[in-house]
Amino acid sequence: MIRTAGGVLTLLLLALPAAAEDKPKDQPTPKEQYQALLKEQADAMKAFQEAYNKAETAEDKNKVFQEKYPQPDKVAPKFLELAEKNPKDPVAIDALVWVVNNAGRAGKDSARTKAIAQLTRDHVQSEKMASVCQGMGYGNDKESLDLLRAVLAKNTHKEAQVEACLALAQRLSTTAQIAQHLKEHPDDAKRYEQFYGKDYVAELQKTDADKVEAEIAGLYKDVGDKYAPEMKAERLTQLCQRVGQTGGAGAEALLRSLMEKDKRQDVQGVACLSLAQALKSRADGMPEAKAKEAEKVRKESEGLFERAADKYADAVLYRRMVKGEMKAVTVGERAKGELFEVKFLAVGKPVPDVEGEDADGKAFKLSDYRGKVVLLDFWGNW
Amino acid sequence: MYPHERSLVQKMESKPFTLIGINSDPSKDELKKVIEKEKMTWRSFWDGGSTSGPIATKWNVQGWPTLYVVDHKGIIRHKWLGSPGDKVLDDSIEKLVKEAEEGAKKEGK
Repeated sequence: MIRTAGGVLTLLLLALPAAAEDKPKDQPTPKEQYQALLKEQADAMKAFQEAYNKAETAEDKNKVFQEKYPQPDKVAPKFLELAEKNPKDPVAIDALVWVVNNAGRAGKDSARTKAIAQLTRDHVQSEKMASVCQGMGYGNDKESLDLLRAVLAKNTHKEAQVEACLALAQRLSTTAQIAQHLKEHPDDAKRYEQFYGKDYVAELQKTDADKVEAEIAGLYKDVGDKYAPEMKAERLTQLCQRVGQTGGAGAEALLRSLMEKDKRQDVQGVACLSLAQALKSRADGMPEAKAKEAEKVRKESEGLFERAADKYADAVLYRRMVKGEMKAVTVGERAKGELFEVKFLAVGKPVPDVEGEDADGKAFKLSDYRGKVVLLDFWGNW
Repeated sequence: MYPHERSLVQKMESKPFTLIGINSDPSKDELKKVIEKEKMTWRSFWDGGSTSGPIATKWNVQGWPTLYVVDHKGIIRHKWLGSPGDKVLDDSIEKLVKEAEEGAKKEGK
């Protein structure tokens, strides 16, 4: 490893003669060390990619993955060490951000947890907190919750504020959901303890779900009132989709207000679609006992899908690469897909026929196999 | 997923069961190559060369694999985004295959 890093450094020094001149060769600056670490990881990733692409069967690919995939968790301690040794250097924050955004392993002594603590201590006001907060919507560690609250209290950059609001709302939504579930099904506590640990479950059992919901509602209200009007349509439509996926009363309220009050067609349309999706998954999650209420919610969701398909057909949901070209996915096509799924693809409905060609160009139909149980598998070799 | 699918198809060879793929790979040639290499004995619809092909778009597929299980009468009985795990998948299919066999017996009488 050291030899590899040395080799990389020599190359870097050659490439940056101006920076290298006033430093002895064997003492790279923190910035150079950071760049060398990045390159080391990028090279390993490239080598892995090449081997992966060369591997022919799924088994071979799996083997390459096991042997060659450069786990970010493995190099994370090096980035962390660099930041710990040079806390005042501007590169420290970049190294810490790298750890938080790449290393997944949590736990008290993990590089990730230590990096979060150091970011909270030294860098909470930085603009770079936006990208850190963006990735903190999942998990159950106290350190990242502290970081999100610290950013909300002390950071003045709008993007960082928005990301902290969204991530905190997402985290609290999970907390509220589990707390509510445990209240209704106390027997499940044991099962949750296996995932989350005893202490966390005990804390959840004491949680007042209504209070958490109120905090979530406040966070989303801030996003809607303070930040949304100034945000670009493209950014706001992304936000709507994320908020819709998180769901919950506060999320629904924000989407409703954006749909009704924002002046931009794209924003209204994506808010309408995202609200419909949030309502649909709420209805799907309701227990048998609430079947009537679920039906009402589902009705509203379908009405909104109809409205999205009708009124906002051309609003841009997002753009993606299709066969080398950027293509807009519209609210209309997604809403139509959702309606088709609700009406024809629910469990218990007769399956719609599929017609097409196989790899040899031979036409066939799903209904050719009536009388047999069919496992229909949407797949791709990637 | 392929090795498990292979063994599932093999195990169910003489039963009223079939696996059908809906494939989003870029070309029919590529699909043919994978079928050969992975020794797939089951058929796949080729869905126009991308994840936004006509079938996947109509069916509102948002992630791969997405799985549907249809019983012998053509009713959708299960759907999953991502594999539910080999055991859940096998058990659900075996149960429906039994239903199909019993249904066929009754009709025979």
